[in-house]
Amino acid sequence: MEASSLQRVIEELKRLPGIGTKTAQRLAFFIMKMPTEQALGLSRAIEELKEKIRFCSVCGNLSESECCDICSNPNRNPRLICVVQEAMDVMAIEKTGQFRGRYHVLHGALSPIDAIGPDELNIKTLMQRIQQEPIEEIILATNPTIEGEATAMYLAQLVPSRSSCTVSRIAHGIPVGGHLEYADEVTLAKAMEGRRRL
Amino acid sequence: MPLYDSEAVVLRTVDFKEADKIVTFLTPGHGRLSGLARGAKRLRSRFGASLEVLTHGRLVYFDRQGKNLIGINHFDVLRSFQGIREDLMQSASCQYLAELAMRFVPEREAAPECFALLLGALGQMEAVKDPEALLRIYEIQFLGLLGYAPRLDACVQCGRKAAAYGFSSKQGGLVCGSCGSALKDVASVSRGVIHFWRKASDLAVNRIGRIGLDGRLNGELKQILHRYLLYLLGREIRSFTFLERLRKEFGSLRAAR
Ligand SMILES: [Zn+2]
Ligand SMILES: [Zn+2]
Repeated sequence: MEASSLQRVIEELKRLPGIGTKTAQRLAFFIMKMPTEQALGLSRAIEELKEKIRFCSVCGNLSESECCDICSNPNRNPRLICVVQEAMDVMAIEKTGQFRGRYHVLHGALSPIDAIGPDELNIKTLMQRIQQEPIEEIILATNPTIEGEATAMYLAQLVPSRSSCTVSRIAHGIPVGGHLEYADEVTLAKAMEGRRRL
Repeated sequence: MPLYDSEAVVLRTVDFKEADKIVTFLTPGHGRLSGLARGAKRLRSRFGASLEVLTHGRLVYFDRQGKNLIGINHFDVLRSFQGIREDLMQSASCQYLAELAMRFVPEREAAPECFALLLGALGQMEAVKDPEALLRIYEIQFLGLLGYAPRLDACVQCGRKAAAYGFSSKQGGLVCGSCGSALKDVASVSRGVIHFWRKASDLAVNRIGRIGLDGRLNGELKQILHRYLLYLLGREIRSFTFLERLRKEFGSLRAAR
């Protein structure tokens, strides 16, 4: 039986995170039964993604041009920079529609045991930006993990040594819709610490 | 399936697939244990923020015969050491201690003293003025627990006492001048270093954070201990490299304040 093209799709799908042999087989069969137009649409979308998408040379966000839509938007506040670990985090914050400043994507967090130090992150460009752009505040929105915290503390020491920008850290606490009794003690303590006056 | 229950400290977490984590613990009864925490990456996971590196907790797990990974049932936080996480030097120092345990403590072999030492260091880290002295004492005691304590009262090769010694990683101890002249890896070692090494070896775990160490002596001791650890491990200790970089980068800044 000549099933090699199907087998190839299965093998390629298995490279994706969280996809094992069974899921890959199911997806491959699904694609096989799809209308040709839809299946080709998927393959073209992937092709375009790889051809067009790159990292913004200013902030490191995903972009279809040298400079991303956010960096080139004159209505975004150039004095406010939100530093995040991944481009996915930019998307998450953009979905809130609440932040009007610009971003800087580090592409990771400091993790000494994995040999990810400051040079492996997009920090050099950030240091250039704080000297060249009219930035007044850097908001550190790295994850509340040991790696994210270390990254935030590293930048909180580095930035003031190179500029007069204010450095702030996003608050951590109870998720909206969550219940206090189910929150772990660390989250609760952080939420208490980050309280504000009403 | 029987459930086991043990005290544990999280040494390392690695993301696995979309939502899971592989977590490595140090336990007193079974040394290093790695397990799969299903759904741990999800924001509302039942593990909450508990499975974070350096967290001390109570681990409930199952262990299937023939499987390398344990199944993590739950992990209740006893101490999160939040203060350490919020200080860059302390955090990097403790991540270094965790890496030492990752690399040196064997899997599934009892290591109650290594566990007590790590927990003791984490408990005292927040209160120390400079983590460096604590790190040196830790390295000395940790090496001793692993069976690598050097002979400090005489030459390890000929057994004679000498007026001055060198340190050989390969021989695992002090060597006298004449024995040392035939060896290639001998580093000079001062009386101060030998004296501190002896004193540090005998300290009770609850006192390892209370001893000071002057900068010059620390520099000398750090180099000898690090070379010895590298020799034993046969590979770079990445968190040490990171820690040294931080010292270089921010050391002058700190002094200026
Ligand atoms: Zn951009
Ligand atoms: Zn000798």
